[in-house]
Amino acid sequence: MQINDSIKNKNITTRLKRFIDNLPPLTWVVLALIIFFTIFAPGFSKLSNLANVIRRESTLWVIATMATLLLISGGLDLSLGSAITLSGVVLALMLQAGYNAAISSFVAILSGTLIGVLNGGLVAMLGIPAFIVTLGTMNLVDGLALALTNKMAIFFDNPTMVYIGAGDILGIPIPIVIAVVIFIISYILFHHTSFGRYLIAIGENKEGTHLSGVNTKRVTWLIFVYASTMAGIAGVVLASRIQTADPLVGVGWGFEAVAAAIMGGTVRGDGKGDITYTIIGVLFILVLRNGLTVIGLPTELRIAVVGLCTLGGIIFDRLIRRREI
Amino acid sequence: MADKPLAVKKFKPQLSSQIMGTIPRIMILLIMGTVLAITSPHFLKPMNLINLMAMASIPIVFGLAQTIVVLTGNIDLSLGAIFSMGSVITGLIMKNMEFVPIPIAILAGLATGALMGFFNGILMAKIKLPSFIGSFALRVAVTGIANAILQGYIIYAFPENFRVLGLSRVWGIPVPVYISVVTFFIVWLILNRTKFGRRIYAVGANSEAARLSGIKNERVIIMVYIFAGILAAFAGILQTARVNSTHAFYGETSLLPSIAAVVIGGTSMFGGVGGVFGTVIGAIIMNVIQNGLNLLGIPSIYQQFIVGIIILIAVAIDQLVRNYTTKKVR
Repeated sequence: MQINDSIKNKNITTRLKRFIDNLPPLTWVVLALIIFFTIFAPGFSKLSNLANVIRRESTLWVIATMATLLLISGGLDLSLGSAITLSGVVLALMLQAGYNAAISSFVAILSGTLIGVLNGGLVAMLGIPAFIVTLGTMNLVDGLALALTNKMAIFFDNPTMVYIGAGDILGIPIPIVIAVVIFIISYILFHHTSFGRYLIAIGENKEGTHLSGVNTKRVTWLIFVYASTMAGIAGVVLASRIQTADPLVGVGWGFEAVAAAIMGGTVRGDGKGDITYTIIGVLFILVLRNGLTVIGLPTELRIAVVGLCTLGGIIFDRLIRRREI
Repeated sequence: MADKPLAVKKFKPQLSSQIMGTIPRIMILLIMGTVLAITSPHFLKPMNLINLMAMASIPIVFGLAQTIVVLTGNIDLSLGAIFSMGSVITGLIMKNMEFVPIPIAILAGLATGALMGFFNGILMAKIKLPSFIGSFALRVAVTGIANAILQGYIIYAFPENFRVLGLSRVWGIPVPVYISVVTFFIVWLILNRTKFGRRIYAVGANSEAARLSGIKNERVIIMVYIFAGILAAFAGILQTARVNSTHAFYGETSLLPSIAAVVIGGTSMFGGVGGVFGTVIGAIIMNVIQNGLNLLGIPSIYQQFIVGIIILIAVAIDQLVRNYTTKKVR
């Protein structure tokens, strides 16, 4: 259905119109928030602040994109945050052991891939519900990261990694460049390959997709592997940015990623959703968190407010959408 | 007319299979006990066994809460946060309002649990969020609120009259053990001897069929979440009485062992199959494992890792058995 639509609407203006029509209802809330903070929090819209914020939240964007792809195919990965933690820890340990930046990053990203192999294998081959599998791996991996680091953050100052975390390409911070590249790859994968169409098909009707000759198990497995690998990359970038492997850094990211996907209108097990709209969900969390920081809310209160507003955002999206139907 | 006896008849084999299903689990527990008794001379000492029972009693109460939710085919990832919140509210009232009698403070904690459970129920039943997403969102929000209330502080040193709940012994056995046994019987009776219990199983086994046969699914799910919230807050309060302190992230470490206990206990993550007796065995198995790890001198830093592995192995075995017995058409 979606394929037919996209063929019909080759015209740019009709496409743009359709894009705006399909924007999640939360978009207007995000715009209102931006206006609110620009007026009441001087410094919120300063360029240096914005660049820092986007550099920081590029991690969330990457894993939110992954969470969206997983949700669309009827999966879920609560362990994405743990993949971020583990790859950072592995990176720091490898650097500490004297390996160079390239090999260390490769192994670190590979550690993320392995989490995906484990998750996808258990979900696709055995048919265990994804949330319980990923809940298990979340603890396994978080525990592993704690054990590997002995509960302490590891600092490193390898110049290549510091450059990846803090440097620019053509004036654009590298973490943002990497996040954009990952987004474009995912966009092409989702919209212009058979793999992307299978994801939607599996999300809509797994049995039917299987019967029409798609190897659903392989697709399910691959999307878990892809998601965890990209989370691994995000983890390497994050660790490079803060020059620290913190065994607790990933706690909370996994939830925020899923929340951003849902606020962007992704419906699990319905084949509905688009990684482009997930950006709105990411923006909501980003604007709120940064705006409240600039206003000067104490940390504990800010976390509580962001948590509550995220819950509120999910409910808001669902209630408005249900009225439309 | 013919419908009613049929429903009752259909329900009976489930009870016997529930008891049959726990036999292999009791065997596992006995084997683990034997191994530990051989490898560690301290395991069979009365001190250790009594300690083990006392340690297991709170996870049992907590596991019961998770079980009733899982039986409906949902999950509650916010129970750890409710556990913390219940104990924080009770603790705050006892510390800051000394004129309030202790039972009232406990009731306030339980009421908080019920309220959180009610929010959960609304999220899942009315707004139709998948339970692992809705309850996870609530978990983040509730933990955030508890942390904002306490600002990272720990509350400790509670009145002696309250600590009796967790510390004192009757005939040599700690009070929490009695409390967990009584709670178990209450939940068991509700699940197996009341209409509400039958409805929980019915909704979990086939929610569409349950709806068509006149059960108000939404109401059942909201009630179940409230019930689970109360039990979780109760577990949190008991733990506070035992340990004499509480803080905002108090229950986070108990959530996963409780899910592991439910899975090991044979309650299906798809709902409708299993029961609370299995969970009790599962919770004891989890505690024997933790106790064993301590006795064997494995650092506590590895325990989260090990709990994760146990969950994965338990669900994998459970699923393999299910795939084998039902020959699912794929």
